[in-house]
Amino acid sequence: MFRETIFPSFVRITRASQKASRRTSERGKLIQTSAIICAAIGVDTDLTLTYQLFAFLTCLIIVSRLSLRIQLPKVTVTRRLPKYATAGQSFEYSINVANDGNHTERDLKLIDNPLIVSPNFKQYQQEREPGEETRNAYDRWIGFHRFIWLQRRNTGIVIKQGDVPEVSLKGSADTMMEAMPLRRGIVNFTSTTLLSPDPFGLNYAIKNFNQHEQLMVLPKRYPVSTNFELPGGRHFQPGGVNSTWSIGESEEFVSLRDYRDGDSMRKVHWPSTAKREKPVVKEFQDEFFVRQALVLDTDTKDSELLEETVSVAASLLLQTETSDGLMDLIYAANTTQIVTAGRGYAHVNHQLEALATLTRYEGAAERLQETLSAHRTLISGCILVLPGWSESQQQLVRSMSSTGIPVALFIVTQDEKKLADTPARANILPVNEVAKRLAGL
Amino acid sequence: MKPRIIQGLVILAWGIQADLIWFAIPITVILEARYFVNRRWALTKQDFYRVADLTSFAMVGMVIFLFLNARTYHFITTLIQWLPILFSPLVIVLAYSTTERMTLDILFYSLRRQREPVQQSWDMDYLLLGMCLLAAGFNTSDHSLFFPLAVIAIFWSLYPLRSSRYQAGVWILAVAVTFISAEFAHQTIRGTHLAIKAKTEQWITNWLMQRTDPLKTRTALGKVGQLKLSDSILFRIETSEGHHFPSLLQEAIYNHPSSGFSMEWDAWETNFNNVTHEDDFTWRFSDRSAEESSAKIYLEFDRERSLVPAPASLSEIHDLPALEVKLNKYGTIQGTGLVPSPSYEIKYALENPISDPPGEIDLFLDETHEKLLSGIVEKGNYPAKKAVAFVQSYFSDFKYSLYQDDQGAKNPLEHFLYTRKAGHCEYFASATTLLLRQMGVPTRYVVGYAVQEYNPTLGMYIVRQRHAHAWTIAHVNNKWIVVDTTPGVWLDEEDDNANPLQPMFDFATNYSFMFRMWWNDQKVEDYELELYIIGGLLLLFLIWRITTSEQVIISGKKSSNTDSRLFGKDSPFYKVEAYLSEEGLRRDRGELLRHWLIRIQKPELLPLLVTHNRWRFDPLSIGSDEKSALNKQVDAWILSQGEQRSEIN
Repeated sequence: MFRETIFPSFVRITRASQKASRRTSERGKLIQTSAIICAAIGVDTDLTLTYQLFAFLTCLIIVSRLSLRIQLPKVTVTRRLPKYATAGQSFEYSINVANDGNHTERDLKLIDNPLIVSPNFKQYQQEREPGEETRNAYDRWIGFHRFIWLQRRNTGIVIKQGDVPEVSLKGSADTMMEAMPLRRGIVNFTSTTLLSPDPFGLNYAIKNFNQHEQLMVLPKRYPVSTNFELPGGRHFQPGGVNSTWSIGESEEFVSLRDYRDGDSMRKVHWPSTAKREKPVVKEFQDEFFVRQALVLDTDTKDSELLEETVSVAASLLLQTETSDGLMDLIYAANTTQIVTAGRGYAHVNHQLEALATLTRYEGAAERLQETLSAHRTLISGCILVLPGWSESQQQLVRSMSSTGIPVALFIVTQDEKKLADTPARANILPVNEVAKRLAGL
Repeated sequence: MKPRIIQGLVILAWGIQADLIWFAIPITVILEARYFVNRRWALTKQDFYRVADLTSFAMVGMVIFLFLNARTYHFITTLIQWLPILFSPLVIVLAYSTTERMTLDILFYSLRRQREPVQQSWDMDYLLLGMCLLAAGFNTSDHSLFFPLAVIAIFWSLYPLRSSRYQAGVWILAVAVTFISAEFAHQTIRGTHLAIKAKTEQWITNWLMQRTDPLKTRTALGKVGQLKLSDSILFRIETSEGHHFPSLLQEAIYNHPSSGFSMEWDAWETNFNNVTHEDDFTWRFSDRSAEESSAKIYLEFDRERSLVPAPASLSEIHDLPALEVKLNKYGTIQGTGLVPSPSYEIKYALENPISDPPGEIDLFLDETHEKLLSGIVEKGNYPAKKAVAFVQSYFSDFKYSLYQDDQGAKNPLEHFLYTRKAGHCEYFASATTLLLRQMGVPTRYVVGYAVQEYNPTLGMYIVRQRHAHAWTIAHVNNKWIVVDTTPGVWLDEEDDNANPLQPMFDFATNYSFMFRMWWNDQKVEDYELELYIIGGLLLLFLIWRITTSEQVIISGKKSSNTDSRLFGKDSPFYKVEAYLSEEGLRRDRGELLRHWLIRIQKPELLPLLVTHNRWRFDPLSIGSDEKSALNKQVDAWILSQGEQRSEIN
């Protein structure tokens, strides 16, 4: 009840403090705080002269605010985002500042604004900030830190303020911005804010440039040991290449041989036939290569576990990326999704994009089981990545093993000790040791 | 950007203003010396934590000290004035360490537990600067200097940080505008405060013109409701052993009742005369007599001018921290120029009150009162002793009551005498004074305290706010005698009204009082040896810490400690580079030595470079013989170059 009452004020507080804090520099904040302290201490003007300091600091702030209008910059601002970023890995991008005014622009700063997504009350109540138990009783009671943490995570990116280099007359300059994506998925950018200081450098005049853009943040990946090998071997794949570069039969040419009865006329090699004066045909061989599937279950309530599971899947996809095999990523969304990569189908990035945006799907294991029963004839090996070890997940593993397709099983879990009856060859990955275990496969 | 020089100046200014110059000078010297000393200590977070904890301890100690000595030192003023001293160790340690800014977990204990490392940090130099400015402001004696000094200090530290967007002229203009408006603003603040203060002071003095005024007292007569008096202890009295202490301490004496119904007493024709000093702290009131007792009154005066409570037959005051002691002819004593001090001593005789003989005014009775009292006794001259006996017996069936119900009664005294026949001491004292005058006996109205409560733990009498009392003195047989008609139960009734938690408060206040007494007796000189030992140990500890901690030499302006840790910095090949640079063959930034030598066509140096590179990047493989060989080769080459040049010349 109490939380429900104060929750709306959290949104307002964060919005107001963000607005106020970007208008004032660190130095300006110091001056403001000092003015308040001086006012508090200097109330009795008989006792102390601090009131003079207060008067001075206040005038300084007022003059600084007033002087902001003296020399406003005339520039245009263009953002240049990369195609992808990775969760948990900082990256740099540039914002171009072009000078349209009639003097050189110096000492400007840029703030790039992602769309701030505040949590709703339901999310706020359900989720727990990691390490919340170490906070003091008051903080836990109010729960503002949890709100901030959720807001940061929902927003998904932290971008440092950038210093604009000197922009000469009619010239332009690139400002390097450093950003840190906090989660996978799509991050929305709304606008870019240009800050120009007053002569004292205490306050900033603010100008906003609307620039709506999206950035795809791929899931976090871990290095996987090079010893890890895909289960299963090569397998006849009729659909291998024909769909890509010719029509009809397009098997691999192997050699020439004498004509035998029943050989298709289309296979006669006319130049050799002419030379040898007897029919010679071309011999072909069908394509054999590996086609494997990475099956990802997304049915877990624990958001941290889901993130780690997705990261494991992404890491394994990258490690197993080969040019001469096919890899299907199979996961359940509204319908079961199969994203195939390799041999000219698509790049592994498409699979990572798919991973970046997927969310929890209830009853994923059952759906996957259905899909796999149809798909299993195509694949020669399978990687199963599961968040936990529930009954339906065990059922999925059993049904896969019964088909005879070799399975590499990865179980991501919060608590290794709670798992029971795991297959002997299963790879157990406790959430806090994922990186270590994957590197040591 | 460090506030060089200006920080030193501000610290010195604080030292002068706060009278702590002997602290300010060493702090300034140490802090400014860092720009000349190139030695820095590579301190860890733990070291900073320790210094910060020490600062916290010092701070807590300081607060306790000030709390205990709240009478001697003004709490906030002294604390703020001493802040720069408390924080200077932290600032100095930081200044001589390889760390630039102080992260907040060092200062705030609560942040040390956080999982993620604390990013926010403060520049302690600016913090110290701010503290010094704040502390310097607490000396109001030199008004003119503080403001310009503060303005210069702040602008000086802001100047290097100004925005490069604007021309210098704009900055100077902004500074000028700020300065002028601030000058105006602070004078306005001061003016406003003075005006408000003058007004409020006027109200307050009108309000507080109560018993502290030796010329006038206002009684609570006719004020409806419960009269509440606090249990708080006003003062304590220590008597010399076996001596009886008078049960009443008088504070002020009045002789003129106001006309009308609101009962006020004032003193007629009252001029205070200075009492003669015997020495600086002794005032004599009457001639020495053999029968003198002495007592010590633990009362700290919090005002500069105050009435001094004393027995009626006072003969001497000693150790009163006053400039002058004055006495009027009725025996009211006033101290002026009082400073807080824990106690004063008095000597008193059992006889001879210091009041002057009665005059006309001590018999004054206006018509209203005369008419009112004629219901009891007709005006006339009765024998004094009989009159006193009559009055005492008249009031004997009156009751003591703190509660007044005389709503609507126009004349509270009439209501007291004829209807309710109950009241508190002021009723009894006023009525007695007037009634005796009706019967022709000169009387005066006295306010003071009843000394009744003896505390065996302290061995002292305790006088509380609720022991305040009023009574009459009557001139009988050429002597002033006390006529106290208030029923004797008044003290018991007052005790019954006491707060049930009072024993607890008393316990606390009595022990804090005893501690203060003990504390006041302590002298630093008594503890000289202990202090030297502690100081010596701390010094040894400091020396040990300094000598054993890791140190870093910084080169020139840059404090890049990474350079000095690199191997091979001592390779003689750098001499070659320096030599060639002088010759105008400078190496470009980032250019490899090898590429450079080829570019400037010095192939003969390439073999030397190989050894140098090994020295530099594989220091373990190179022996001292190879090093000395390289040294020689370099010297020989430089020498040969010099010879070649002289040949050309």
